[in-house]
This record gives sequence, C-alpha cells and structure tokens, in this order.
Amino acid sequence: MDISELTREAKKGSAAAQKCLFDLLSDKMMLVCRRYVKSYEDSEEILLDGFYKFFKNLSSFNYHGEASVYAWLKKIMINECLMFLRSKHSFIIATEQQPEEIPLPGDALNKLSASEILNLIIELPVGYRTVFNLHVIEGFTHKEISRMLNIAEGTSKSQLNKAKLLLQKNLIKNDNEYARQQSK
Amino acid sequence: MQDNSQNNWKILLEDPQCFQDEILNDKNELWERIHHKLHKKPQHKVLTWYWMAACLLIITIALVAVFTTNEKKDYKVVSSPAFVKTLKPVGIENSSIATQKKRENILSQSTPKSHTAGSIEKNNLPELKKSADSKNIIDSIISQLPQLVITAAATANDSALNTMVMAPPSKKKLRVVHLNEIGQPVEEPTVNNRFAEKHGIGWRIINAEIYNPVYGSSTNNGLLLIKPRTSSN
Repeated sequence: MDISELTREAKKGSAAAQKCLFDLLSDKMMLVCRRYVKSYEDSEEILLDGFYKFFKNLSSFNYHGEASVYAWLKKIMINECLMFLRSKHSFIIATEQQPEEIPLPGDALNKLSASEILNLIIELPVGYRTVFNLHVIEGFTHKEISRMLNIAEGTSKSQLNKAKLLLQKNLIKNDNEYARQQSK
Repeated sequence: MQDNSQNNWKILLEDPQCFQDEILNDKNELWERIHHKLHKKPQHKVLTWYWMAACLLIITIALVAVFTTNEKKDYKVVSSPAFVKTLKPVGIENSSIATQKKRENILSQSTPKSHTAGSIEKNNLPELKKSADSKNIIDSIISQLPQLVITAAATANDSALNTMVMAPPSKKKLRVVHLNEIGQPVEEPTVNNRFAEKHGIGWRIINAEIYNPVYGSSTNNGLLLIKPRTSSN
C-alpha cells in the first residue's frame, strides 16, 4: 500500500491504515521535533499530539501527492513544537540593531556527521535555535518568522546571526578538540 | 553545485537512517496511546450532564424547602396576632376611642336598668358628692398621665387596627369592652391552677379538696366518683 491509499483509508477511519501511516512517518517527524525541543520525552509527547491532530483533521485534508502529506504533517509538528515552546519559554526578545549578515559555515557543517550537526543545533539557546530552524532548515522568511513567534523582523534577523556566530564558535571548538584527539 | 554541497547537511538532518539514536524505540506503544486518544469516548460530557442535573435537583429541593417554610411562617402570624403596646398621651386620643366612648354611652342608655342597679347608683351618689373634691384632684392627675394603648399589629387579613384602651377608671362608669374587640384571651395562671400545679392529687384528698359524692343519690351508679370541691356542680 502506498501513501495515497493509506491516506484514503485513514480518512475513512481505518485504524490499520492509520497505524501504517504512523509507522512510515513517525521517525521523520520525530527528527523535526528533536530539532526544536531539547528533551527527548517532550519531543515524544509533541509527536503524539501532532499525529493525533493529523488523524483527527484528516477528513479536511486534500491529497496532492506524497509530498503534500509530508508537508502538512511537518507543518502540524512545527506548530506543536512552537506551541510547546511558547508555553515553556517566552519569545519576547528585545529588538536589537540589525547586524551585518554572517555567512553560514556550510562547508564546516558538511564535514560533520548528522548526529553531530543535530547536537550542535540542540545546544543553541531556545530563541536562536527556533529562528535558525525556521529560517535555515524550513525556509521561512523573517517576516513569516516574526508573525509566527510574535516578534519583530529585526529581532528574528539578529537572533539568526547570533545563532550562526555561536555555531561557528562551537564548530571551531569541536575542530580544536578533534585536532587534539588526533595529535594524541 | 555549491548550493547542493552546502545543503547536504540539511538533507542529512531529515534522513532518519542517519540517526540511529533518535529513532523511536517502541512505536507500538506510542501507537496504542494515539489510538486510545482517538477512539476515547467523550466521558467528560456525560459527567458534566450528570453534575448539571444533580445541581438542578439540589436547587429545586432548596427552593421547595424555602417556600414551604415561608408558608408555615405566614400561617403562624395569622393565627396569633401580635399586640403592640404603645403609650399615647391623653391629649392625642384618636377618634376610635371617642367613638367607643359614644358607643358605651348609647349602650348604657339603651340597656334596661334593674332595681338593684338603680339602688346601687342611688346609694353611691351621696358618697360621690362627699368625696367630689378629692376625686377631682385624682382625676386631673390621672388625666395627665399617658394612657396604655394596646393595638393589634396589622396583618394581611385585617386591615383595621383593633385598639384597646386600658384607660384609668372613668369618672362615672367602667368601660365596657367587648370580647370581639379584645380577641382571644391570653390564659393566665389563676390561683387555683397554680395551686393544682404545685400540689398533687394525694395532697388534695388529704385536705378534703376532693371528696366522694353522697351514696344513694340519683347520679350514683356504684363507682367511686372523684369531684373537686371547687367544681360548679
């Protein structure tokens, strides 16, 4: 059974089809949640809530290919994560002067493994991490981010730059540690 | 080309196979939780209805209880009208007292005087003349004193106030007060009643207050009849 059929059956209320969809998409969605939320247990709870909302509102969903299912589910998960973060942390960040745009150390990141990159992102402060995820990975504009997080556009930009700076610092630190380990 | 190489790490981030540690361990358990949540019956709605019904029942019972108690209270007020004691100066006598006095005069004139009553009046007249000066002084003092007026509290049933005047003795005659005007008399313990309360039946037999009737009378049927001495028979 492919995703289109599973989605159709799940819309009708088939528990088996719903379980198959969950098995197929849960790992990917868990990674999305992990990028936004530091705690593994919290990520699991957000995943459950997201899938619950997905299956509950599946009747109103219009299928336009596999990508549409994935995109819709991802959007639900991101919203759930933001809701969770809003409940735990406040995104009221003071607006700062717009700094110069700092380039992302893409080459340096490419040298790292997937889990190392994830760890670097998770270690960022909440505000930096959220803006970084939304802008760099999900591809939202600063205007959209400012609306989503209820912050100023300039704040979003400054948060992103700070996140990049911190990532660079952490990468250099990791490089030095790696070099030390190699020398030993 | 450069962009693709830069975005490699992003693709890696979304590939679950690269994250062995982050993969969900027990998917079945998680699925059970979602399934339970999805197919859970809305019990909270039933509970809310139950509590609402219980609250309504309690409110109705309370309202019924309140109304029934109020009705009982009203009944008590009607059965025993309260009397309010007020002191009124003689100068401000109301018109009801004046009319009562008129009534008394009419009654005294209309009622046929017996021989004994006439004789009493005749006998009393010279005495009154003798002590006229002293009585006038007393009457003037009494007339200056405030009168005790007992008025019935207004109830829903009777709008007119019943007024009873406990006036000082009038110059000529005692005021005639009808029973209807007073209402139900309040039972006050008489001397006999008080005595009966204090002393039992044994005490009364010893003191010959209770005695046997004479045997052989027409009413005697062989039974021991106990009659109090003070009885009207």
